[in-house]
Amino acid sequence: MSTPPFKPGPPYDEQQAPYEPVPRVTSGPLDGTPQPANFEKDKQFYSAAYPVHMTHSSGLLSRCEPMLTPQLLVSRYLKGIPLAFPNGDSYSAEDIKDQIVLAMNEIELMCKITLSREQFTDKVPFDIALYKSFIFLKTEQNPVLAVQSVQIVSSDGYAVFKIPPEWLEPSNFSKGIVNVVPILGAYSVASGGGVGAYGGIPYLNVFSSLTFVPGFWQIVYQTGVSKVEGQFPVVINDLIGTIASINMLSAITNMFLQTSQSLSRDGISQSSSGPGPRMYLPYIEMLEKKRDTLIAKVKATFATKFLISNI
Amino acid sequence: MRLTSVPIINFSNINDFQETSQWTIRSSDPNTLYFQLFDLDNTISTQAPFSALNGGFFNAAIQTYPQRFIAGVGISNQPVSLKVTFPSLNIGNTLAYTATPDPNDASVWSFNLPGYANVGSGPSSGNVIFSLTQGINTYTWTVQNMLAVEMTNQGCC
Repeated sequence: MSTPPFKPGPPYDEQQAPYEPVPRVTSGPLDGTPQPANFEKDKQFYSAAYPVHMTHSSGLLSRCEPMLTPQLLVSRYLKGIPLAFPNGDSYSAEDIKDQIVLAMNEIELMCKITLSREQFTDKVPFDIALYKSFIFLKTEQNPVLAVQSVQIVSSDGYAVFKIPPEWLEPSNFSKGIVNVVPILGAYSVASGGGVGAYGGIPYLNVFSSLTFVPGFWQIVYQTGVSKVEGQFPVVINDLIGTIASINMLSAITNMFLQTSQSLSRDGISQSSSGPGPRMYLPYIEMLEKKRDTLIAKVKATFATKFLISNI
Repeated sequence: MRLTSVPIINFSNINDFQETSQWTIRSSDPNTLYFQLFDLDNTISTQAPFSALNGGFFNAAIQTYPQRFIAGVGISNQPVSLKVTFPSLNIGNTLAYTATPDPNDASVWSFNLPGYANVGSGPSSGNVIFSLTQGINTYTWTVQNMLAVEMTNQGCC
């Protein structure tokens, strides 16, 4: 009896349809479909992802660590707080781990970044003003770690023209900005890799008279907040922990129903009062302020907020 | 049948080990990692089926606990093999190891990780994927954030 093939499930399966053109374009220089990610070969800046543009580290200060663990989250944000409910429910380590995953997904949406290293493919419009500014291209996801290719690709996946990797300026990748700086001086002296077999440089000239073409440039790139997979900047973990703590404390604090209680019998009475549902509210409000500040700083570090052009 | 894995630390023998929520390692050091298989749909309680999220979610609030799963029981479940995969965006960096069962309890498995000189070439922190083949059937599941890998130089990443 033969052993069935190993069946790895998503998320790391090699991508298949639906985005690949049908029928698929033949392989070779005409194939404009994204290739599997290869971080060792893709174009990137010779610096760390965080701190941005750091080229060497003394190692004296810890700025990166693995994904936040339940133990670390409780140690940093929830010490002294019983993670339990009146009916006997409680947050187990696995529950907290799930809250961490929820917070991470929330951050990716709010900050417009990807926390783990992922590959994306964008179709960026042709804009004559940006074209004249060394083909200023803004990716949809941030921050860019490496670029596999910048090509002009038809809607059915044919590669018409590929920008040579040597022309890609990587210093602004951290802001999601890809510039094309042809260090050879001009397109006219380009040869080899810069010319697609389906059209090449003459094809580019056709578009120089236009002002706007949607879905013109295809950028295949990798994003993430760390060049080492599975590692995160401490400030990102700080944000993850803050959001997860807010979510858990918000559920717990509502369980404190009574603000005052009294008991009397015959001539004896006893009474007590407490904050009730406001039990953890001051701490939650402090964490919310911290969350908002961190989100603004993360977006400023890893993304570009505005893009101005003449369309 | 939905299987899951629970990481084990401080394994001495089948009667002496501790369950934990994740392995924490340093990729430069060689490690032997242990884990135990559980069947999320086979609980010791007659209550509703075990509430599981993402293939590996133990909820202490629910007073049930899934039973351990012993792989390869019966002739139809032979041969048996188990692969542990640490995924990566780079296909070349996706690492797969073959685990071996404990001779005294086939619900406990282990595999050896070599030390990696470069943190980028070792397994990464995050999810771990398991694939158990019994006879002609293969069962695959993912355990969230099962591995944490510490770097030596934590100054940048």
